[in-house]
Amino acid sequence: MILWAIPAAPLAAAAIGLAVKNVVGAKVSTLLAALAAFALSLAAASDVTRHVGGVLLPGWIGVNALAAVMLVLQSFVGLTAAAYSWGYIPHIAAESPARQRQYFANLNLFQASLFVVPLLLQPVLTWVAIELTTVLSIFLVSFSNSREALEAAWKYAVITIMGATVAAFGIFLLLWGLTRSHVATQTWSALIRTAPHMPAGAVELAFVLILVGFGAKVGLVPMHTWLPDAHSQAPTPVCALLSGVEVSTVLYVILRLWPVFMAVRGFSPESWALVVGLVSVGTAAFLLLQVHDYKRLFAFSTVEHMGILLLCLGLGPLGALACVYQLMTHGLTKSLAFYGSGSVLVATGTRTIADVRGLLRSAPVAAAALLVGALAIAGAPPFAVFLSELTIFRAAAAAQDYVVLALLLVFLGIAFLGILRRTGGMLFGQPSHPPARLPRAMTATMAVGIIPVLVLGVYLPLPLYHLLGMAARSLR
Amino acid sequence: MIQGLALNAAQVAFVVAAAPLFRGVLNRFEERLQGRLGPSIWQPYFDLIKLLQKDEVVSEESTWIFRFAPFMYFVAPLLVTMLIPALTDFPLFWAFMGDMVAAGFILGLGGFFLALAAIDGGNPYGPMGTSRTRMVSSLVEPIFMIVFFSVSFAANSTIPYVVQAHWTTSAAALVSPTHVLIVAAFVMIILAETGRIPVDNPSGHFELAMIDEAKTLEFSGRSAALVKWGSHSKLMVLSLVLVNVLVTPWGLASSPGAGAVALGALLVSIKLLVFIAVVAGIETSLAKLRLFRIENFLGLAFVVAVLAMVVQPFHL
Amino acid sequence: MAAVASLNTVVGTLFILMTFLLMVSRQIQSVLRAFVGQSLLLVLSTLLLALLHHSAQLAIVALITVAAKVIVIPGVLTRTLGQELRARREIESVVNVPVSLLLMLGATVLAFFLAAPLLGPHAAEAQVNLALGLAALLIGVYTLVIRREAVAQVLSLMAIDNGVFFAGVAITTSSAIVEAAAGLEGVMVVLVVAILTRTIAQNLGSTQVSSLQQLGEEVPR
Repeated sequence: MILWAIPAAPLAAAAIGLAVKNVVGAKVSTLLAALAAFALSLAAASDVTRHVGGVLLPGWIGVNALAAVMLVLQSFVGLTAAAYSWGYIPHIAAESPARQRQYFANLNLFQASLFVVPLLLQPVLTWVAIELTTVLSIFLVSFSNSREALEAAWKYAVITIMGATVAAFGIFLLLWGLTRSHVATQTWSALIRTAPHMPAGAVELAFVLILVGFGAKVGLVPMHTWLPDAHSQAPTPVCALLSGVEVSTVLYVILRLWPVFMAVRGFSPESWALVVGLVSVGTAAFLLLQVHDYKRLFAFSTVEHMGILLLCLGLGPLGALACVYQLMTHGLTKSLAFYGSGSVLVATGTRTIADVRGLLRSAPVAAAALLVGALAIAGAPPFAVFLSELTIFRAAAAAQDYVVLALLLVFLGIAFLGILRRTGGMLFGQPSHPPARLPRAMTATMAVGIIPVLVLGVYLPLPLYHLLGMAARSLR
Repeated sequence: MIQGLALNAAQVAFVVAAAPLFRGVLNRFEERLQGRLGPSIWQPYFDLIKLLQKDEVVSEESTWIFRFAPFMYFVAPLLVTMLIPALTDFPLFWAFMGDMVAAGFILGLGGFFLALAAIDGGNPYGPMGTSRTRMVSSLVEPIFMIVFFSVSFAANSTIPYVVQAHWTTSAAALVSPTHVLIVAAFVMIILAETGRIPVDNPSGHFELAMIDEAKTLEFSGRSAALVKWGSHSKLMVLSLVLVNVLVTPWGLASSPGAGAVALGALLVSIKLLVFIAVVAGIETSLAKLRLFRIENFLGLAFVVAVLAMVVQPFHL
Repeated sequence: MAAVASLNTVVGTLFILMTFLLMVSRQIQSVLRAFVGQSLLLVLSTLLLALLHHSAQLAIVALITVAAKVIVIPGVLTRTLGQELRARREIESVVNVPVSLLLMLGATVLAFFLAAPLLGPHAAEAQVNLALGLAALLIGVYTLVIRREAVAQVLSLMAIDNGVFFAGVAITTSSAIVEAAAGLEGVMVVLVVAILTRTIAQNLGSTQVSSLQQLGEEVPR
């Protein structure tokens, strides 16, 4: 009952926004729908922790703990993105109310497609939903219709659709394993149950195809080339959704299939995860050092974090917990970092790092948001990512992967320095731009967005801990 | 033995006599498809008779090769005729003298002498045509080889008669992907090797664009007639290999009687007519490729031939 | 039944040939024709497999494929991109055709070697579909990478999709709802990407995506 209402809320908002034909109506309906979806997701998650509900239509629609984590994350970032858009979109598309309404409709559709992914119980349908998230976000990426935005949208569309199609081959191979074992239901749980009896070769080939295919859409090196482009050219609230939620939503499919791959005898997906993850983290850390655009900075940080998430899968049971934990903290923090950079963009009108100086004096709110976002995403102490990364280090130590631990520490250190050096230069010195005020909606959104980042940095509420624990157990 | 020799002679006579007609019918078909009336189907004979009656002019600079090459070019397809099932489906006297690879070599020998003669003649277009023909041939030859190997994988032999017998015994083998691909590759290399569209334009008169024809510009009189006749025979021989060995291995005479052979000749002619229609269709619907796009066409033929080999172990 | 399986194999080889043709075609129109041909062969193979397994579901899949790939997708492309489709210029590609042909021949052989060990003795008719579908996937991805023209890239995307489904129909059957969703999604992908292509053509004056090289880590001008 709750479950179908979650994607239905943004869909209704999209319909209302198109029907009422004024911008305020579109904004209000979007915000209300986002609030409703957030409340419903929390309700669904609490149902899951209490082991009630969960399945709406057996074999078709339902959630497990991992899906509930995804829903909560998606709906929270969706809520802040809707609120941030309230102030941001009128700023960048001031001349055309029609384009603003179009934006809100598209945002709602994209949000709905994101919600659908964790709700489906059949891998093929999930694949269709993943394709939908791409299709429905293309015009959000190309929203400004500038040369750069169109280029970003094109790379995004071609590479991620190609990747998803390659992954579909892998999914078909897994379903073939079901067919050969005469299992008729094609759900996640059927796959996990049947996995030990599937031919190892088929599952291995499926694993490679799925890792490469969905890896392209997650942004793993070397298929990451589109990600910094798309995640920097889109309007800021969309960047927050793409970087904070969409890539994790695709990774969710890999996580969901992880027990299937683990069940195959004589095959170690864990070493694949460690190698591919470390390569992504390392490459992104070094690329971070040479960016000239502060939105691209955070986009590369997304590549880095996706590498970390994959790597966690190779670190044993504690690694699984760390993975789910990091998945959530990254989404919350990355969206905040993008909101901060969006505020700087509104205050200065440029994306080039070298052109911005003395933000603390010209736009103190934007500067504070950028500073908090950068510190938090780089993993500095009192913020959430610090705790989750600490869990990863503990997991690596527990698994006795000391080489991995050392490399990870080095790469994270490089990334930390890179992010802080780049953003630090923007904050101090003589102001390069005249003082600017931010729209109130944006300031309020960032104030809300900071709460979980700070709170989860010092304390993990018990229900959330339970949920994360359950989600982590579903990965083994 | 006498009977075998007689039948061999009948085969050669059939090819020699019918080759110009074959070319004439092909030309007529194409002209009709392109909405024109076209010359009579007997036109190639008239051309040959006219050329045979003309005096021959030979460059003072040229050597014996220039005079000898046309004979070689004329004879090569006829030697190949003795190796292939042209009218009968039982092996004739010369059948085991050489296999498909040998047939390729003999045809290649004729082409080699013609190439030498074209350079020998001193006409500037000769070497140009020669180099282009060599380019095409050097790309065609590996494809020929792969087709032969695919065939020998399937039929366990490269003797044309044995291959033909293999395809007739199992009708299922005819719808196997290997067979389909071999046929497709073979049609493509026939088009390339005999200078048809899309590789070359046989009815073009612009010397700079010529590939095959450029080599023969210097010949006159009897030599010109022999070269033309030889190229008619070559087209016919390759077509016979295609229709009698690969595509439709039926309808050949299975007993040495005169009546059976005559019936075989009739059926083979009908098959050739159908093939002519196909070639005319291909030539009419395609445009001639630019010289440096020919490698793309032949590359595709190569892919087809190799695929024929690759898929072989995978269908049961 | 053996005849149907063997006919399916012939269709499969024609399918892979059509994929090669799609890779080497240099005019948008002929790429589109090759795509439609490829889709028709996919349909034909699906129908043959439906006959072989007496499966009504596969027949429905074939119907959906005809509707989506043969009718709607080419229709959508002609509607939104009429001008670009009729352009008579040659498609740019990064690697020349003979080299591409050799590479993809290698990829096809690789696909056969990857697929061969997956198959037990009891999966005879799926064999060729799995291997050829994988080969078509590899060729499609390669074509997408070397092509520098938006419309050709869209068609390569769809060719990859055909390759995936060519293998898919042979190894598993999903319910009609799932298949319909997948078909509809294919149409949506083409529609959205075609509109994006048109926007690029209108704003930048061409669909040569090789001109899209603004973004990167160079110092901005």
